[in-house]
Amino acid sequence: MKPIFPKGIDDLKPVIFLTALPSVIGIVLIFNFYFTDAHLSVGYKPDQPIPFSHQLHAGEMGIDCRYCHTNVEKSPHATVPPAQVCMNCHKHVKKESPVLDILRNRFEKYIEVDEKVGGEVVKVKVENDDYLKPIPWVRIHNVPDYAYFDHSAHVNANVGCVECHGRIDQMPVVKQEKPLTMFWCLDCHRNYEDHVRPEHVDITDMQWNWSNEEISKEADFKKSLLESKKLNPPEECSACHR
Amino acid sequence: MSPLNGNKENGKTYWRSLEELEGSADFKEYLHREFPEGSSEMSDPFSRRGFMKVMAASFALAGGMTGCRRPEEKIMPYTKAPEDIIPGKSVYIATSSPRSRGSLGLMVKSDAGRPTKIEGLPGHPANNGSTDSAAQADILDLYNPFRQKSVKTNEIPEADFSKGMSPEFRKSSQKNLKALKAHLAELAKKYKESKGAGLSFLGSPVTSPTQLAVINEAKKALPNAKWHTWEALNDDNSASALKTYLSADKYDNQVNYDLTKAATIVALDSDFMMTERNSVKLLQDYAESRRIYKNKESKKYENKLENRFYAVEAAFSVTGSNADHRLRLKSSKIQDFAFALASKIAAKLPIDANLKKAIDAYTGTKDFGALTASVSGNKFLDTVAEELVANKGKSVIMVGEKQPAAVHLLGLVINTALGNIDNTVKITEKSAKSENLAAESIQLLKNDIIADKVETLVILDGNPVYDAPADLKFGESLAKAKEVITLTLFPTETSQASSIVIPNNHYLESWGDTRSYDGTISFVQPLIAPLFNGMSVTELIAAVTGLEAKKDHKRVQETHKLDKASWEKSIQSGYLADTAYGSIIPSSNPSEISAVLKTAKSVDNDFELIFTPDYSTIDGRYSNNGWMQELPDPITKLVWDNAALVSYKTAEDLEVQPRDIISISANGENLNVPVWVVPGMADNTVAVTLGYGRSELGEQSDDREYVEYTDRGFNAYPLRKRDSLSFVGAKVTKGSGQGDLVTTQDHWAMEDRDLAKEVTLADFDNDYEATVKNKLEDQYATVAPKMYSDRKEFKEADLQWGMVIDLNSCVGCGTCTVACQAENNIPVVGKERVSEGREMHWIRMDRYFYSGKDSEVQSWYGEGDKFDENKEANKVDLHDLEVGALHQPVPCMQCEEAPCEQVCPVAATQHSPEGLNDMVYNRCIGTRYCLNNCPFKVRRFNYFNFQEDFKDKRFEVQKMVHNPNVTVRSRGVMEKCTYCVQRINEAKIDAKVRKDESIINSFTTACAQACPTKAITFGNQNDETSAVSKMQKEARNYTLLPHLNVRPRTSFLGKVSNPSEKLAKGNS
Repeated sequence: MKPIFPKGIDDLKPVIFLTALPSVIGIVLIFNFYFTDAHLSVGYKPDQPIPFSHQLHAGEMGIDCRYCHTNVEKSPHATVPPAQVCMNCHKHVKKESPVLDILRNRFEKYIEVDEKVGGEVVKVKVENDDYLKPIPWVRIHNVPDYAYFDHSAHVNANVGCVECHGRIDQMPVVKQEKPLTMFWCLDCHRNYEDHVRPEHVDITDMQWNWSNEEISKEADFKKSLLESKKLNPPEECSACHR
Repeated sequence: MSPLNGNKENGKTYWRSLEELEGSADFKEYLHREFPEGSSEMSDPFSRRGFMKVMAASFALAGGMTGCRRPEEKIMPYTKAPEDIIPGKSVYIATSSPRSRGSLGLMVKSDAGRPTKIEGLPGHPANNGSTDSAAQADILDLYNPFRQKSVKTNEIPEADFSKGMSPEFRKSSQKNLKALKAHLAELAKKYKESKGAGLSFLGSPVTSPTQLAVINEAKKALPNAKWHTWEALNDDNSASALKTYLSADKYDNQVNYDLTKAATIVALDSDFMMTERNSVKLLQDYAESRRIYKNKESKKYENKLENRFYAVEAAFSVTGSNADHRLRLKSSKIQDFAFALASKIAAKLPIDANLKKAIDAYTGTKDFGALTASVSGNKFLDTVAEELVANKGKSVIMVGEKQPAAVHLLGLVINTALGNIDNTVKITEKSAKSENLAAESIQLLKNDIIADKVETLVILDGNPVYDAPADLKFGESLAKAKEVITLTLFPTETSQASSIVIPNNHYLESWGDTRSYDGTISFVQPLIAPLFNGMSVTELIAAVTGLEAKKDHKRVQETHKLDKASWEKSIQSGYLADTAYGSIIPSSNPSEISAVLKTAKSVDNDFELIFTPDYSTIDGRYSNNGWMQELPDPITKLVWDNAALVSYKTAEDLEVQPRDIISISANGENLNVPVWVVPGMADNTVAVTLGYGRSELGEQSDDREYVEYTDRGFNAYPLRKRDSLSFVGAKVTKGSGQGDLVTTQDHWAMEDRDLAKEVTLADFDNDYEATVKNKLEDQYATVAPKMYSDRKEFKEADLQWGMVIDLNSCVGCGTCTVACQAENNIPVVGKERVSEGREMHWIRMDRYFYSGKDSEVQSWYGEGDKFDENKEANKVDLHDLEVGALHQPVPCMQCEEAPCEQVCPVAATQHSPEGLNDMVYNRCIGTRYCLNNCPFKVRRFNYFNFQEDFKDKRFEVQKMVHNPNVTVRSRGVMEKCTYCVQRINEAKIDAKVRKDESIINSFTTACAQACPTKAITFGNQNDETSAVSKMQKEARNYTLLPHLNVRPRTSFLGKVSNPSEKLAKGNS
């Protein structure tokens, strides 16, 4: 039988022997580190059906987060607003804007389409298939289905929106800023005093940080928070995995 | 080693199956294996090599980096949001399940517009917050992919559902409905002219005032139309007895029992805990009256059991298994027993002379001494009679629907003589109305059809082709009617024989009302728009009879004449308070009663066949429900099947082993069916359950093998004739071959350990310390060293969850198992998988038969004598077992030092500081070490990806039943009870968000919430005032296997039985 490998390969044996294991380990480590959510998901910035700008609405115009995300204090879901909420304003503002076609279309029971009748093109009124259909927004902040995150629990513990979502008010297109990995969740649960705000500060305030307050207050607040044991961020598995 | 060798301090032996009792090799094999043989192997044709081949292709396809990019997920918000709906928060809506045998008030959870879980409505008079297993399983029927999905007639085919709920399906099913409505309008026009001549209706007894109003309206419009009722499990016997008793001219009365006040309960062939009318309420009252609570420290009773329950029955029912004393008698002999009892009571209490004569004439010189070889029937009879008289005014005789009218009449006579009427026995107007007896009514219909008087037959409900008396040959005669219109939830034998089939709306999709057992009006409100284009019963009646078309919603509102405000209030509360029927004080006519009693004849059958309702399918209506089918029968533990049940002695006489085929001939028909040995059955009796062997069950699943909705079991209806709806003389011989029956009775067995414990009230009362020490505490408990010190984290956290299960209240109905299945997205695995030990139930119901060492009933309560198997008197005579049964639900014990946690190689199961044994599905790699190391065998493994099912578009609709708060597990993952951790977390978060600590104390687990007897208590054991910590201080509290030192958080309270001293050993 003809040998598969050329004879010369025998000389390389020690080299192969010495490099094989480290390179396998290296590849595993590289995959383990770079092919995780921490690296792959941060910066995720998909196109949305309507190029809605948080920078404009939340930043420049200063609309409170809760005007649209109404249930963030009551429910596990912050709630992506019903199209109706958009229409509250856009009935009056930017009525003709082509980027809002998709939105307006959801409220038209009948639409006009072109149809050829005897060589002539006429407008015919037909039922709109998209009438009241949901607008398919693309989910950006996506924790796995087996992790049950609850917005209301965090918001009511005075964790600001910015802690997990970053400076949404500066994003024309929203992207994921934090890794949303379990390590990252637990890190905050273990050192929660660094991420919780005093009660007088609004959770939706994007710009606030301790430098806005008197210097002595930060240490006092953290101390009393830890001592009071009012917040007990759970670290057990069943807190999020059910 | 047989368990009989064990040191049973109370002299009783407990065993799960006859195999265990005999110590058979099969059982030992079972015991020592983690799973039955073969369960860990892939039995499918799809081999591992084949798997790699297929996977290789997909590995190649998946190559490159595409696999790393996560899939895009869409958020679909409402466009116009409904008011008051918060996505992610459940809404609870009051409704009721209409049933002719006692409607229940329900509170149904709805998530994002789809109902996901059924609970009992708190405060409702019929069930006060609990349900039975059938109500729990109803939610699965709503989303059942095998439902009748569109209108089908001889001309119009059913809409194509092969692509699921596609727009094409919707459009064509809408078209079908429209065509049907046009046809019905034509019919209405035709019958308007003939004033209804040629039009007949067949339905079940009506509990809905609105439906009654519509029927009355229709009767006025079409006076010549005929109305009939039929139900396989009907109340003909009690209704006709009541008619005689009250000298009434209509069958419009019913008996309600009040067990809360009863000191002596005698059930004559009455399975009132499970299958009789109004069982949930009776079960609740029974459990309440037997509640016992003695504080360990103060040694004082807070509640004390004060009644005694005697059962006389032929088959071994759940009710009988819970009796203090049980006498097994052939069904026909129960009439003799009733007459004898009446005669004994007549001798002691004043009774009309005519009646006395009639009773004595029947009794004559009948001797009950030889009723069974072991129990002295006379002794039993005397004791019962004596006790009834002693407790007159607060005793109760309950007669089961299986017994003939004469026995019901005797029951009423005895209850009257004892002064029980209006105390423990209440006679009221009937809540399920029918003009005639069911058997009469369907006979009249059949005669009409034969005489060509029926042109159009409208079947509003039920499945008469399958379950009508066999001698009527209803299916054959149906062909003579010109047109048969059937309204049905599922395709049935009847819909198969009909020219027009209309999908019925499930009660969770319709407006309506219903009267519960006591007459209280409850409302039925929809939680979801009808999934399939069909009609409701009232809509169909109105359409056929040409009444004005109205929305059901409006009709209900009009019936009750409520203004807007009070209407809204009453549908919110779910029922109208104070609408129960008043009690009727009878003025009976003794000569009429005695005339009927004189016609009663004593029956002597060598061998008897009895028909009983099935605990899973009832009368066949739940055949299509996977949860009910997979719920092991409380007594036989059979799943997905029925069998011919016989006693051990009868099996020996017939020379058959379990699963052997026997041939039963009765009423000129023959049935070859597999046999199952149930200790405690009356000898020379074979019991078959109804509701199996369905031939028409809708679409079969072809590409999945793991969920089977096939024609399981055998159909017993062909043997059931009009004059023998409950029992009949039969001939039974051994057939050839074996049937394929699957039972779970030996699954998850923990051999030879006293797990279910029992004490007697007398012992407990007299010397409770000794009783607790000898009978409840484990013999090894004190020997085992305390290995661990208390965990630090348990001291720190405020909330410490615990559960106590009171075996005294548990009757073994299995509602908890179904409730858990509904709450926790537990898959149905199918019969084949159960036979391999792969059932997934997180809370299982262990049933232990018990028997004494000699044949005298209750004789095991002898003092002091140690059990010695070599003593002749102690040998168990398998031929003549007088048995009872103990039922023990076993969920995860949440051990504080959990053995499972110590062996998991990937830390997928860990302890929470609140004492929960957490299971992280996503971490689990499926080594199954944890199950191997679990002393209680409560962990379950997903051998298959049962959710694969829903990829088939036809079955996709069933996905909607899932609880959104619980992970849907996949193949290769271990799972188990977590004390409903999703409910715990929801309550904890709600308490914080709404700043209301009381929320923490106001929720409970799914099993505890559903339990009709409130046998399960769950809560924070750190809280001194909580119910669970109170139960932990009960004197009867014990944990399983305490010598293992694993410190279970789930503990049990031993059962307390209250046997009569007169029937005890030495008094015979």
